[in-house]
Amino acid sequence: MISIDIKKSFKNANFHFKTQIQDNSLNAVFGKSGSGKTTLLRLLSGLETPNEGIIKVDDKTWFDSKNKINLPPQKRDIGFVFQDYALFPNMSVIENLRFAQPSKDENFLAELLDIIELTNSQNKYPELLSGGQKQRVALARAVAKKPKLLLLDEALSALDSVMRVQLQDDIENIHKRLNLTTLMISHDIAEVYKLASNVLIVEDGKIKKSGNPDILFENSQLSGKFKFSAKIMKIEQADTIFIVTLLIQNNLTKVVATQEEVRTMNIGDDVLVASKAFNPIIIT
Amino acid sequence: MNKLYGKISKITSHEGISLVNIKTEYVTLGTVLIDTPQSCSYLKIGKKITVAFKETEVAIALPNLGTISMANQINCKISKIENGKVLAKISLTCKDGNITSIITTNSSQRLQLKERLEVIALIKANEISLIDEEN
Repeated sequence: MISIDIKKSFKNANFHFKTQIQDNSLNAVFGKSGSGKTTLLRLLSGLETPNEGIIKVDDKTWFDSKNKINLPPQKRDIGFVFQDYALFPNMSVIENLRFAQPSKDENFLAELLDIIELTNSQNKYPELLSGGQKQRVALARAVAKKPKLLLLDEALSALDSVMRVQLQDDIENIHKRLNLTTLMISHDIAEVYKLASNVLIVEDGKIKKSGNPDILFENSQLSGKFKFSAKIMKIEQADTIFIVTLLIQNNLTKVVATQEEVRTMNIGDDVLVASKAFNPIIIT
Repeated sequence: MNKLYGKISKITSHEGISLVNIKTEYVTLGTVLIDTPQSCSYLKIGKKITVAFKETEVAIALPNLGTISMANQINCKISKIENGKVLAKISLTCKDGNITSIITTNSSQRLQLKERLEVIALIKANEISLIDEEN
């Protein structure tokens, strides 16, 4: 278990993070930008030093202001993946991975290459890889030394949706295979639902709530209903009613409305379209 | 969208689903929600709430209706009928306000609906949404 109770003050912001993270859990860190998500990960990793408090991982103390303990990042048994992959350009894929291993374990590297599907490209240099492949290497490199804790700071947000799903599967596989404890900053609710067993909601420099992903519904912007933002594209009369064409993300949909309702609608208006959770039919 | 105004009078919740009763001035309406007082802050007894339901979800019955599962029954008088080729728009007046129902013109003719006729508006509990307009 990881126990955190740390305070950090910057010029314009104060942070106080207090929580306990279960072993082998995959935690999503969720919150608005500026709420302190990255700061939390940086404090955990040792890239930032708390003003006071304690970080304990099982029976090991990583940080304790009272007893003046502050393990440097390289002694904290963590893997960190950022949005920009930061691979060594002058090293091949396998060399990038080897570099991250303090004691050589070629069998494990072969297994990692297999998980990230780069066995055949292991001698390529990063410049020849796609963005998704580079990020897969960055992920494999972060876990090459079999860390206790894996920290992902919006690691997937620069990827297209296909690659993103691939990387989500990689994270899930690696997390399970290595019995990692993972903290993942993500803005993507689908991603949080797919991967996380626990969600930490960060607000104003604090962990406001934590629990299973259903706590996201308690957020006022989301509710259990069928509810989407939409743009009005077209309004046409049909028989005694009106048909309103709406753009929801990239999909055009049609919704029936009455004359009284369309009186207050204009083409181009941003609206909310909602239905009861009982009505939509799911076709698989 | 039809809107009536009332106060929450009763909440029965089980495993994330709630039956919420709303008392308007003259009737009590029930709605089923995938929410509970724990997940939704406005689900409180006595809370002022707007009851909303789509025109196409309002069925119409003639008085002396037999036994039916739909508990949301509002006595109304027809104020206006617009019969289209396919759909008919029936404007209704009840004690709590105005309601519009859109049914097929076939049904409108089958029931021989006409202005000033007394009818019952029926709404299924899972078709009613609640809107917290104070927030």
